[in-house]
Amino acid sequence: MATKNGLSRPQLSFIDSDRFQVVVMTHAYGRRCGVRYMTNGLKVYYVPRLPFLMQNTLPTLYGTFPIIRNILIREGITVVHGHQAFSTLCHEALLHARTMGYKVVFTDHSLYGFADLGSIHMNKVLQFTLADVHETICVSHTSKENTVLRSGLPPQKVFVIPNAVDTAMFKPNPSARMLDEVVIVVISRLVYRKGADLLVEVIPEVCRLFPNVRFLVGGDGPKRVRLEEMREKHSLQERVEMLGAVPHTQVQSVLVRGHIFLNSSLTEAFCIAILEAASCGLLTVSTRVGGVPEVLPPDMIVLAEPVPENMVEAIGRAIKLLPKIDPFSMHDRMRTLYSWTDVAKRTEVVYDHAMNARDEDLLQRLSRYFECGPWAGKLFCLVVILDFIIWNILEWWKPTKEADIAPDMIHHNEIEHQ
Amino acid sequence: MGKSMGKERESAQNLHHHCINQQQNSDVSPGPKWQKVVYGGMQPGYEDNHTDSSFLEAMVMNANVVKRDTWTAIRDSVAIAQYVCVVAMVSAVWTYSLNGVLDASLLLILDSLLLLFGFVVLLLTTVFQTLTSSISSDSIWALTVCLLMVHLCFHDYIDSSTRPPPAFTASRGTKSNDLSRKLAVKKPATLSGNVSLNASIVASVLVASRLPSGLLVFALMLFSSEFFLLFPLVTCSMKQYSVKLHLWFSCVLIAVTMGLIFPLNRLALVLFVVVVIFIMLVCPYWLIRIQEYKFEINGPWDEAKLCFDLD
Repeated sequence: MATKNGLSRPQLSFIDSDRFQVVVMTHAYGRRCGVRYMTNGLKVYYVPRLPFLMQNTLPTLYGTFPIIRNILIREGITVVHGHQAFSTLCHEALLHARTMGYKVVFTDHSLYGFADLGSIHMNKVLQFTLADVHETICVSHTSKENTVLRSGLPPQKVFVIPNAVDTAMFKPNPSARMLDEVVIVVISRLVYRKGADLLVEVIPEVCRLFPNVRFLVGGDGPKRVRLEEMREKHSLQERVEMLGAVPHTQVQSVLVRGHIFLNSSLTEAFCIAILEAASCGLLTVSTRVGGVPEVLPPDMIVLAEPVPENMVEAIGRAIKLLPKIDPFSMHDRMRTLYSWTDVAKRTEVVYDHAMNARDEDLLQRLSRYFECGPWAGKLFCLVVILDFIIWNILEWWKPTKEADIAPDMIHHNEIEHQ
Repeated sequence: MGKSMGKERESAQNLHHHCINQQQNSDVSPGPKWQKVVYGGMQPGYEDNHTDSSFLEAMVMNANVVKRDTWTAIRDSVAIAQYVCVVAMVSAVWTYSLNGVLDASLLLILDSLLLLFGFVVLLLTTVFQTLTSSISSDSIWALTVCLLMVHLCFHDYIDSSTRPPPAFTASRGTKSNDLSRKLAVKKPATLSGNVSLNASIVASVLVASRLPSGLLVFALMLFSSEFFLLFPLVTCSMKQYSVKLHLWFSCVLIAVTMGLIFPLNRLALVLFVVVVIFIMLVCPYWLIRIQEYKFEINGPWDEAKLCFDLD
């Protein structure tokens, strides 16, 4: 039985098979704190921590060690799987898990540049974590190139496993569409990185060129004001509908009202929104950035450079293509192209790789950290040594033998049913 | 530092070659060609950690690096040396006034041009004169030297540098280039520029507070303000008019400054010469030398830049 923590949710329900059992650990959301069981029996630990801004938490480095150690021991964990380079909990959990000798896997979902100060800092943190990770998963080949460059990992240790889409949740419904018009749907956070400024340029021009086009804009964010200004300036209130934030359960009902899905991101490692749109039978128009060109076959997506003129031209091409698009055949194709079961199987292979990795002592690990850089290397070593000392103190204070082992609840219930 | 940067670059280059070699070894595997796509599940015949020969193909190294040559670097550094001269010269004038060598009327003739601005200073001279009477002279001198260092470090030298176009222009970057040029024309007031100017004014106030007569305080304040505030404008327009004139003027300025420092202190003169040589010869050479460690990576993972004005 192997368990790990912090997996993205849809992936989880499929990985929960005979060979692997999953326990999730994340930080507390508002009043949601403590241990919870999801409807499918998935056990989630909400670690009490204080998010300070937009669900971000302050790094504590060693503060979470006791509770992470407790969970790892109680649940009889064998593999720890951390997600997202921006999550401090992930970095801390992986560090502590390595100190305790667990096998660890890391998934990277984002792309970074190499120039600005923020990226340089994050890349150093990532280098620290990845110096001692057994296997790494990236969501696209572009993401893999980026991660390899940032962390200096050998490319053979980085697996590319995309996200998938729950096609059963995203079914087309052509009856929700208007017959005499073309509806272009945009669903994204309205922020700079998602290209909201590009939308401000593109929407009026498309409305001018194609009188039968309407826009549906779902999402909220700091750039919403700019979009609303644009709508008033060009008197497009009738043709641009602003829906505000759309909860994930209602995304499908918004998507099926449209013919074309427009993604204007300036950077994107994978873009799951495109998959959801394609699964609903929409033709996608997207900026050619990051991993987007890898996500769909060329006949299901129209790509353009993130320049307003090119985007408008691409939307024009997409409108011409529309009569040839059958939403149901598109949906069926998506079912063959993406499935969470496939993703889960491929992830299990990575876990097997990690579990077969050989055990290493502190000195072997330290030599790897030491190579991270003339200054950073030594700093990393200090952090790891201190973590090792704290682990030994914890072992002496609350020995593993005396830990309260969690009973296997699902297994238990099944026996009762029989 | 430089070493490690070089090492990193080497490793990135090796990575690429390494992957290509790897591919040649595993080319034996039959079946369909590997594609850089993530749809359709695992590609037959290729593991998820397969690294293709096209790996990092789209990576562009040092795309926006500006090519530098020694002569331009030296020419640009002259402006900094020139400004060091200005500061040294003003300091020398301060010392002369404090020693009682310099006459207030002489100094006044020098800076009688700025009348309107001068009246404001005139009203404040009595305040400046007694401002720091409770502080010891040593502290005043130490503080003044610190402030002048701050002034030199934060001074806005942007005007004085020549900007050659980037060696390579990305296809989508053509418009944004125009934008950056536009931005360069309307030069914004920078924080460091303000810090620098304030530091110089505080330094002059401190020195002025040690002077014997009110008129001398007035003259000195005017002199310092003129040099610190207006001199950069003059040199900038002079340089725009003719680079040759700028270079000759700098030479004259260096000579004059040396002449002013010489009677004051031999050690100060040596220090000044060392600083000028360091700025004009050592630093440009150093800059050219470290160019080989320059390592910039661009690729498809970069955030796209918008090519139009926001707002």
